[in-house]
Amino acid sequence: MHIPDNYLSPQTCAVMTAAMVPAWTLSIRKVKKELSKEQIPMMGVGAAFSFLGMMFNVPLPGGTTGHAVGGTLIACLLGPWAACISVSIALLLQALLFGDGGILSFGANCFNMAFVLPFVGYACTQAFMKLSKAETNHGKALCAAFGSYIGINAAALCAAIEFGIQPALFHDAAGNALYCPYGLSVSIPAMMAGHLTLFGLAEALFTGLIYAFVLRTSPNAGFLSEKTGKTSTPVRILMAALILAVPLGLLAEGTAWGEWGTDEIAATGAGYTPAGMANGFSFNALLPDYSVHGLPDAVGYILSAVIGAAILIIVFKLISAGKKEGSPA
Amino acid sequence: MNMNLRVMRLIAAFTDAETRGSQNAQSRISPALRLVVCILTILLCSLSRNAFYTVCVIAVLLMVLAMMPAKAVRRAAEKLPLPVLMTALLMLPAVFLGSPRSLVTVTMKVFCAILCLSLLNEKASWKELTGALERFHAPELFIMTLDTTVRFFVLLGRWSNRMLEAISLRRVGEKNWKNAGMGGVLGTTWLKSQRMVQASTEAMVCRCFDGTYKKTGFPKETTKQDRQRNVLANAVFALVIPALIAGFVLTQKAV
Repeated sequence: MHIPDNYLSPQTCAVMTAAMVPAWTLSIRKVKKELSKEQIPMMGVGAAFSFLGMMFNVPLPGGTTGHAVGGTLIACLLGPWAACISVSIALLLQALLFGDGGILSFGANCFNMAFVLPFVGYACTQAFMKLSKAETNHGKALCAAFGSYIGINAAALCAAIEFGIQPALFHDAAGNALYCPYGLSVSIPAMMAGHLTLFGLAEALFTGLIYAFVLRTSPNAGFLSEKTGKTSTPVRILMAALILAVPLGLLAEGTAWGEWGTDEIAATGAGYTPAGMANGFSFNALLPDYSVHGLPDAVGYILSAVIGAAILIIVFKLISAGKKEGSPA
Repeated sequence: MNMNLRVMRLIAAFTDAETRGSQNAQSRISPALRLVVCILTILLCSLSRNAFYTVCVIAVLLMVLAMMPAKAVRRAAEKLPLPVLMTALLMLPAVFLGSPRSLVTVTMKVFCAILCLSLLNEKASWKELTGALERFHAPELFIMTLDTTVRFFVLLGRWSNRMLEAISLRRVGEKNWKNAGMGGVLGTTWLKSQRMVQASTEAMVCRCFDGTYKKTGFPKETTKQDRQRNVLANAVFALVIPALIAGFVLTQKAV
């Protein structure tokens, strides 16, 4: 679901980024108001979990892959506003350091995965909890899993619409698309087929299992220990286990739909490379595709997972250290 | 002068850890072992002929930093930008001379070294580190000279800073205080240092310090079980040393 650069026109990217500005502003205000200084590092841990969740690629027959996002999980633990910031920062790190998701399309990716996904997922989770009157941990986790399933599908639908409107809006005199060459009739079924089945299931499992784990180990403090106020030991162990398991994501061969390289797009059925893609913006990330040049893929993948998760936690701890005492205020 | 003050401030930050030694009281790891691991890490990173080893070490150090309290993360992170940017600036000509990898590799090595020292600073106080040197049978005269030099850097840095502030305040007016700049400040600082040395010697005598540093080993043990736990924790931490060496050998072979 990470839209690369040049799949969306610069105009679309600008509109999506402009749409995210009020969401980010409001999120920052709400987080400042609602979360205490001690709770801010939890956003970092949540962002790290989201980052790790996105590294577990799930294969779908036909050669495409997808992954969980974990936005609903953060929203359930810290609220949708905090989830918006956490996932946005995780996406920024992925774009800048690992080249996953575009720089120009950062606003669009945030709109789908940091705004639509957590808000829809959270709203559905709350609705399910009210309807089912869930009080047990398992009941709540099940509601969160269903909520996250709907959340990721809503986000995928938004991404599919963003892809699909490109050929109609931006094409040359011969009718060839300048950016994404697939219209709505192709993009919506292609994106939704994966997300309504395996990818949605992966998101539901990721959210449900981790939410149940957190509710069981630290029901009142989330990712933090209720005694020490630091990241709880079970959460640390879970994170370490996820980091060690990320090479499983490499087992999925193929590229996610809509994330092909410029050299691959013609062979996917488009028959040509759109002009906007061939001559578009390119950015060389430090660790492209979560790999370190010269090291085995699995080692590079684990290193990327460690670096990404650590940076996200550090960023939020720095924000927490800079926040004035006496918060929330 | 400003540069000297910056250096002194950096060292001040290094020794300020002593004032927050209480947070390290619960650590079961011997400061001497921490010091060995820190020096070995920096040494192996410097000797590494490629970036792989440094990237691996940075990944682990970042994770260690991420697991520390927010205030400690801030203190450690504050020390990183200046030396890393300075190195990147110094290595910038390498890009124009056709070796852009040197810029990345050397900057990463500096980042790794500073991060490693920052973490050591957070995990062990200056007092514990001087004690660790004693454990390695470093001559007491050497430890005392090092200890006193570092402490005086801080104290004299603060003194010089106050004097520079006073001079800058007096620059407005008829008399030209600019002439009192470098020479005056350094001379006065020298005289001040003489008086402080005298005061330090007298303080040492009063506190019965004869130049012998106490060895810092395992933290205070209350029970046999506590001692066993300390030994186990140190034994596990000591495994980092062969892991560092093995990682170094493997990554050098990889190229």
